[in-house]
Amino acid sequence: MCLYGLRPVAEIQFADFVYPAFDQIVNELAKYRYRSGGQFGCPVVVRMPSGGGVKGGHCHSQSPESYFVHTAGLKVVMPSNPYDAKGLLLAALRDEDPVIFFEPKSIYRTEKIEVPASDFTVRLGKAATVREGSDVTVIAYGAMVPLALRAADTASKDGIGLEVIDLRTLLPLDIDHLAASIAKTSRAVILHEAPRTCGYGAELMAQIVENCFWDLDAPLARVTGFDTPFPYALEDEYMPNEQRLLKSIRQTLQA
Amino acid sequence: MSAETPSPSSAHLLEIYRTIVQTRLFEARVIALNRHGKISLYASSEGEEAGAVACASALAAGDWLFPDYRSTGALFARGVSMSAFLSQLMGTGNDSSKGRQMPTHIASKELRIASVSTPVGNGIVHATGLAWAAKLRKGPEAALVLFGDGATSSDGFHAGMNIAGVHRLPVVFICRNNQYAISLPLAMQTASKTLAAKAEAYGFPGIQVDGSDPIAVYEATAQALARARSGEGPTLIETAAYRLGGHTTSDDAKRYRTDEPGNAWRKRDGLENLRLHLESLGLWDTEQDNTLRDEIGKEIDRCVTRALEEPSPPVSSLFDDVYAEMPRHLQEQRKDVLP
Repeated sequence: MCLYGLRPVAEIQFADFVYPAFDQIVNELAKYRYRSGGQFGCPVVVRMPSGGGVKGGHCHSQSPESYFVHTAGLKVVMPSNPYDAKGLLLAALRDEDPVIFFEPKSIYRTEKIEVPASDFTVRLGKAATVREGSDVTVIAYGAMVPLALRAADTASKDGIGLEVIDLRTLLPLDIDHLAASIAKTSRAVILHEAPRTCGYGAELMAQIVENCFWDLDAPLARVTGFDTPFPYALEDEYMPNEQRLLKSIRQTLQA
Repeated sequence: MSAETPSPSSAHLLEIYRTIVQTRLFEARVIALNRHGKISLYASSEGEEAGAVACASALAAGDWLFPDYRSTGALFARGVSMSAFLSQLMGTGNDSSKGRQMPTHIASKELRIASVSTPVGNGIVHATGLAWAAKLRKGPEAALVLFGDGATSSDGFHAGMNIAGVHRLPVVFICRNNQYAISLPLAMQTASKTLAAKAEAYGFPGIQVDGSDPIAVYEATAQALARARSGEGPTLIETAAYRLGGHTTSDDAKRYRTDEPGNAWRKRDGLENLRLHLESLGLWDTEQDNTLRDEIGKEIDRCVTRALEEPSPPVSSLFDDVYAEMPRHLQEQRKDVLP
């Protein structure tokens, strides 16, 4: 359809079901511009609800973003609130490259903010500081952002200032934004729902170490889903929660 | 086929013949170049040239061709020059795809040739998508996709054929049944009596044509394209052939099959069939044939000499076209390879 000049939008009912399309996304969509020497672009948006917290079990809860972040040629986006969801989606629709657009399903109805009816975009590739603080940088995206903000409220009662960064776009990563925050706080905790091993946090840690090593006063820490299949009954124990995040933040501050 | 099947004119038949001969001679030279280390790999279409040339010859200028990696005759029929294809095969800086893909994986926006997919059957999905877009926009274009018998076992075959049937899309599926999916014979690929029969389940016609009869392939394709354009939907055309060579130059077919079937198929060569037909019509003779082969041979010499002198793509181009605009991390990585 792109060869004909259209801009298709594909909707995967749940991100857990995207795997049969993996070949088409990774070998075709992502590579079509490159392999044709720039003759053909593929401005496709692939939307998919992702993440847990809805008692969906193994096949309605996964966070497969890392598979796509590892793929040259794609852009990967995950909003954390309705304003960004609209602005990022409009930006994705107008982008010349294929965009994987994750929609964290657990916050479809829980995050309520004003969204202008007018046309506006949120630029791809730009992170946002959603809470300023000076003690620890918490790096989050998607449904983990509201969790980080709740933890920041709790921590503030103990006099701990968390700076919460919403990445919004995972690929390309806005490393400059992270570096500026870590230059201020010297400590960072990474938060995501996806399993830990080779999760997006691993790439964040690598890039932070490459770019910010001399600013760090403590080891980087990760609070993530576990390296198990996504469970049904024990979902609450699997998902990162405020207690695990605050524990990690305290350890980071004590290091 | 119905009475109104469009037949190729004498001039068109001669053009098809010339292109088949060109494909045969070109491929023989390419395989020699492979043996000399100048081209890393090639998928020969020896014995299948006639069908590929004939089906692509039925396309209109505005149509789209979705070739696979064994479609050289179709590429030449579509207007790809030997020079341009050699640039692709050698991955030189003159390649329209900037040397980004392995040999035979061409793409040409100018000639409306989609980028060749290596995973078999993927092109079926893309051709169906193009046809869907054309139908949505009420355009006159049709899509023609070439694939082998092996692709009928792919998910793309099911997805593409199914949607093409549902929406009655203007797409023609050419399945070159050359009897082998690399080393797997047809009988081990499907229990269907024919590959054409699979179309029935998707709700549109599937027909079998002798792939060594270029006139039959041309007429079947032209009729399928006419059907597509008139809104009657897709057609699956199974062209019966035999892969005379290995899967690619990296394959030794003797390890998994005997020579006997190939020897029998060589006797029903599409090139020879058409030559004899043209001679019987008084349109061709041995002298003309010798002259043609001589001219093509010399042209191949010129093209090969030129292609061997073409420079590689510049190192700086390694990071181009990953995205429409180069993101910061690629700009950084690019510094590692630039002096």
